[in-house]
Amino acid sequence: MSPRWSRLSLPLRYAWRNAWAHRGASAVTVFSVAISVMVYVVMTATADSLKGIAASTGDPANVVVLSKGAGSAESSRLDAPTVTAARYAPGVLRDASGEPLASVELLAMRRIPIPGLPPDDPAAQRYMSLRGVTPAALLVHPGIRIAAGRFPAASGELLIGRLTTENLGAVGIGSEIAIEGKPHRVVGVLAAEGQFFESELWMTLEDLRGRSGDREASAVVLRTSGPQAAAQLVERIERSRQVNASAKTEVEYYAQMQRVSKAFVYLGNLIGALLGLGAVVAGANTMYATMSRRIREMGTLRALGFGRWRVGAALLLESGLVSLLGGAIGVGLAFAWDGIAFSIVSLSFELAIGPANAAAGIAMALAIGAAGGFLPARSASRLEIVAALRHV
Amino acid sequence: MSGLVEIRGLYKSYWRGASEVPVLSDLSLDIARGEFVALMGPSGSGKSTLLNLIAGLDRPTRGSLRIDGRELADFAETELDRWRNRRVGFIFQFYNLIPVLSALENVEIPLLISDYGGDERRERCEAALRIVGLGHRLDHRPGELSGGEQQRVAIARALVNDPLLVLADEPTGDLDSENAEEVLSLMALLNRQAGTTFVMVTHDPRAAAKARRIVHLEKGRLADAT
Amino acid sequence: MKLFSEIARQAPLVARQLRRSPRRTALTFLGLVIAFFLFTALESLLYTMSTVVAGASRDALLFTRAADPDYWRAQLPASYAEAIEELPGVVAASPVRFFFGTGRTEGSFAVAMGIEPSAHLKLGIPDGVTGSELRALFVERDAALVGERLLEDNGWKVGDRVTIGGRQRKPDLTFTIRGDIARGDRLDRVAVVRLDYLQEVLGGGGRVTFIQVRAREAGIAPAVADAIDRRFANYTMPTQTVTEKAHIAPFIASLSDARDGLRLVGYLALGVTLLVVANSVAVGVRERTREIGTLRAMGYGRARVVSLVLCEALAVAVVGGTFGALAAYALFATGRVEIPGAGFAYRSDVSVVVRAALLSIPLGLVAGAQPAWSAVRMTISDALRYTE
Repeated sequence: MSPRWSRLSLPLRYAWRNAWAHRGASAVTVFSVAISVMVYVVMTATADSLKGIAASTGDPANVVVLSKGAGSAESSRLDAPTVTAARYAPGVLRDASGEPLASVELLAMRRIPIPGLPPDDPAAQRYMSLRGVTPAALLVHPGIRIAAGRFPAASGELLIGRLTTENLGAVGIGSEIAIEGKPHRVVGVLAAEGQFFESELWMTLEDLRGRSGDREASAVVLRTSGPQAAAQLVERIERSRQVNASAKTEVEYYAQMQRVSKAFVYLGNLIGALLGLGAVVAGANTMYATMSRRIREMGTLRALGFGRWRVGAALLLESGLVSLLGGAIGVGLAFAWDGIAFSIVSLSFELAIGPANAAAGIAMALAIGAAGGFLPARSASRLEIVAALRHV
Repeated sequence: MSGLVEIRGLYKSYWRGASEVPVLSDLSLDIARGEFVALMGPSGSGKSTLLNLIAGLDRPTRGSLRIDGRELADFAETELDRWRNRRVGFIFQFYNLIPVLSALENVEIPLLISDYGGDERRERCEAALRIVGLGHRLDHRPGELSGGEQQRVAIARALVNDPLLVLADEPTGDLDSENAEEVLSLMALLNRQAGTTFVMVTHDPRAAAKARRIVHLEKGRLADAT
Repeated sequence: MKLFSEIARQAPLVARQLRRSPRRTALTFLGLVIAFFLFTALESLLYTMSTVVAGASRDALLFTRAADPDYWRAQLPASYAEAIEELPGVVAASPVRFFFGTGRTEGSFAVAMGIEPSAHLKLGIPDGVTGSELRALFVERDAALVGERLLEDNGWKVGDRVTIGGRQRKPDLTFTIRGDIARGDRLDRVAVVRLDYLQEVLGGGGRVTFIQVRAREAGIAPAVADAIDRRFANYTMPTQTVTEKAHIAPFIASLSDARDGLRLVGYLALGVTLLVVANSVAVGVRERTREIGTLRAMGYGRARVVSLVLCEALAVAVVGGTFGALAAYALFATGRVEIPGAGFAYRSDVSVVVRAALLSIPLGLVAGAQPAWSAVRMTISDALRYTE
């Protein structure tokens, strides 16, 4: 062993063995820290996952056309002439037969009864996002693929997002889901790599238009050749007199949808801070207790020439070690939730715990250790040698 | 023999509230290298206080305390720490070993903040423990050792750094007569053969008898010296 | 009674023990306060979420709206209200029209709600706008009562004449603010105006967003709802009448993941605190092993020693827990607790606080159990000889 390492190893062993010597109290601190870190990591990872969906949905080459002043597609209404004008705007790519790559879409939020449960029980219903589309949607949204089955070809057929099972239970191809009282059959499952669409129910445009019979749409999504072309198209539409609508790049549009993640960031920080504070208190309690039982020992170390800061640092090291262990356990526990799907209102997502979240958890544990051990360590550094040596 | 400890006109008082309680008054003492001195006196005579001052654990109120020619009062706190680490060995009444460390690790403690490399540290520790007769008990913890054995580990710890002097505060206070005898004989042997300087505070006349010089303190002053 | 006198006798001993190590007691106390604060706060959040429609009187309130899933846009004829009032079991029917516009700053929303003041009074909504406040609407045609949070968001104050901008080619709505609606009320983000004024500005042929109906009592509410819908079943604009609870239920149900999570966190916090208290009491017991041995030698029976330790644990737990719960209640009572991105102001309720504070009792008892047992486990002679 190199001299440096062996010089460090004894303080570490000292810290560890002391922690073990009062392992009951140490265990309480470890547990406190573990719970705090676990909750914090899960909550911030949830916020990140939600933000991630917003960030990954949206192709940089796409432009979303909405009615003027509409904040989102749900509150937007484009009349037929506007839809046509948008579809044929210059800059929109065409397919092989010359048709514009434009997806006309209608968005609605509806209460959907969970299949298999009594339909008039209000708690057995969920608000879901419905999207009326044409086959052009698959061309315009490149990240989407049909994971199973096929695209809806007629009214009464549904293409369900992969994660809709979170809200509706075990539904798959062949299941029946009632939309506004009318039964629909699932003919396909849509996968889209963590994008919003995986929480949606897709049907034909005419199907969703249904009773109202009008030719309105919520939005038209236009495909261009790239981000620059998209930006140019946005500007052209915004300034246009023929197209009475507003436009955004699709990336920008979905970036706005990060509201829900904000709530989680806020809650996560708040709850994490309170739990962390509790862990600091538990840690401080433990360290004070161990310090008061080692007063003579610390006096001896001072007598043997160890500086006052070194003696305090030994306590801080112990506190840090115990908290680090708690943090590692907490992060480990948090990973048990990795990959599990959750839903918040109509949005379903798969929780992803990333290295950044884990690192934040460890950092939190170290901070707790430092905070909990600080005052006891300071007390230790202020011991008066002679009095300490005389301590019972 | 050269003068190791030179004390002139030493005063030490403590403050209790607003009143000053004198413990040592105008004390002067010389201790030469290689001596084995016992400090005796009734309780309250200030013998432990004197030991603490010589050790550099406390500062005198007034007076001069020179060890190896250097005035301790001139040292800053960190210098004093360093000085104690390299030049002084301690033996306490209750051994003051660290319970979670093995005998070997306990002896290594003073060396951790010195300049010795890992291999040399280990050699020194093992040698010190062999000298006190515990070479076979390196990995035992204090809880697994008898009182006498623990005190011997403490002696090894006191010696491991080649100190100028070893200070012992009631080293046999917590030992039965058999172990006390062993420990004292060991100290006397080290003093004779290695020339280690010992200053021992004790109230036990049998312990004092093992020393080569007895200094009596009474009410903070030297009584007649022998 | 005997229990109380027993506690009273133990009290000085318990107090002395707690004072023995003030730092440890203070830290344990602090840990309890934090944990119970968090627990009560989380339970209050859950309480708000599940009781957005609270109270028996609200159970008798119904919403009648167009039987179109997109009822916000479909709208009902206001004239339905008169017909509804003639149905048996109906106390009052008040048509309501909502108007969504923009506020002062770019991108902000402002909502106006048009009501018929006299009809609304008959609804007798307990936490809504009171009769005296509504007087302003009776008197002035374009007066409005504006919720405090809307006032704040737009920098308006009572007496101002302000405008909510129309969106999607709708006209602007201008009114004079004559009163405010307190923060924490359900309408604290809304501007309440007269329906006839709103209709005049917006046009739209006498249509309203929905009609609020009060049934005579909660028990007959479902029957009344059926009756209303049957009345208009064959009209071009049939109705769908629901209770407020049914309206919100799917939303609440879909939050169940989040709610379960929050509840779990609250209980975890309490669980950890239980360990902290147990540990703290255990350390105290260990420190006094000889003293306890002395007490037992003097005739203190096992049961008495156990109750002593339990009282100690209870004292800290109950005081700290109650403090924390009350602190959370005080915070929520200000009505200013909001989660950005999650809408409404959160409130708490005495029932939540009491339930939380009461949990401190079993917590204290469980925490003190193991230390209490270890206090009497040793034989008296061993205890007297004990050294650390």
